[in-house]
Amino acid sequence: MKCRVCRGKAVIDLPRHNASFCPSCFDSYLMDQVWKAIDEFRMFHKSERILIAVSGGKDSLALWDILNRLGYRTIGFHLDLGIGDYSRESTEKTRKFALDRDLPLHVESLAQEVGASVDSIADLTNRPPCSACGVSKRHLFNRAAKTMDCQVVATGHNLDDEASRLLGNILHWQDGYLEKQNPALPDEGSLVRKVKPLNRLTEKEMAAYAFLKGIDYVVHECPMSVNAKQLFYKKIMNEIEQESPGTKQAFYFGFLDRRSHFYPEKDESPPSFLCRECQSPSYTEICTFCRIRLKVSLAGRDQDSGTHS
Amino acid sequence: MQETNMRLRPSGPILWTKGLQLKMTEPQTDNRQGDGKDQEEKTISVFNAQTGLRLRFPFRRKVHRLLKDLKLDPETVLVIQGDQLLTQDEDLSAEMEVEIRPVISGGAS
Repeated sequence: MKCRVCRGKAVIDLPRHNASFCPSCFDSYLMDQVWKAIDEFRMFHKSERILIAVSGGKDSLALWDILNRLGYRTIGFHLDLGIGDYSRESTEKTRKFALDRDLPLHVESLAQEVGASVDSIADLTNRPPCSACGVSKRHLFNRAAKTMDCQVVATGHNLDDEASRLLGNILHWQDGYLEKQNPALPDEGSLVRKVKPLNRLTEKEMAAYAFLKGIDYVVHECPMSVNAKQLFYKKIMNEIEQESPGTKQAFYFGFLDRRSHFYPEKDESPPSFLCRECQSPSYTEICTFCRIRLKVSLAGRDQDSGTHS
Repeated sequence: MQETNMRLRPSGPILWTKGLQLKMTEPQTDNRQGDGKDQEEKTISVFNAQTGLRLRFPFRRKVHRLLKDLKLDPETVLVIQGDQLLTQDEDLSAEMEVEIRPVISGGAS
């Protein structure tokens, strides 16, 4: 197979573009896609400080690498989720990535913030692990961005993540989530802007980029996400894509093109409350993150009193 | 040469990646590889980078034939041999281990 651009030996074929690329032309293609996403959604500009949420996986490490190459001012933020060997490996690889490239990295631990790891939080609060993880990340990313004077939080969500999420949201007509499914969410009150610069690139393209750039990432899947619905939706989307290449991007980009038609922009007021516990903006008196934290704390006290009685 | 942690031709379905529940079954004999007995017995070592599982399968010359045997969607994996990323139509070398690296990750979004 030959590269569509230079006719050199191809290392990746992209049926959705009916194209194959050699390492060098693939790099140009990928950087161009990221640039297009940043530009189209006016995600950020060179004078801003960007907090990159880095998990240690291929997407977030590749995103950090790309934004650094594009000359943006970035700070990495890694949250140690306390999921045994998986988290140890994730933290280790993230630290090594930052150290090798001399990039600033801030690491926090979920256990220190909430008093328990993701699996314990899920047990104590009767939430699916991915939900407990998601709520905690959103809260702590926002807090870290404000603390470190960053104007924007960037995450490594890719086209597969977004298309599968869209499928799930449509299947259950989650209007609230559909309305907010945008690769660039503006800042709102004290919630900083959130962006997804990899939304034009597939999971395979990101894995290929990480491999070709020698990025050492965590290949193992999060043990907590084994039965996650999102993986099932990804499988369905990939089956459709195999039969009809290009469907995934047509589905997702088509939604973004029509989103404002279905969900017109509203002058939304920011959350009216400030959380009683952490002073973050919240739609209720106590924000979801603090409710989780309090439940974990109460459960811990109950266990202690049970042990001592 | 038999590696210590390697089994020859799995006898039943194997859980290939936990999350996606992709299963691979006993590969079918591929007559297009030739009818000679020697060729039928030629195997290749396949390493799954996500599960750490290392197995031997009947050798297939083309990447897409191997993936078909393993019942893997090409969009969900990288195929690596040596330090080379391989495309679907590329030839495999029977002498070198082939790494299958699943690319799907998931959970909270």
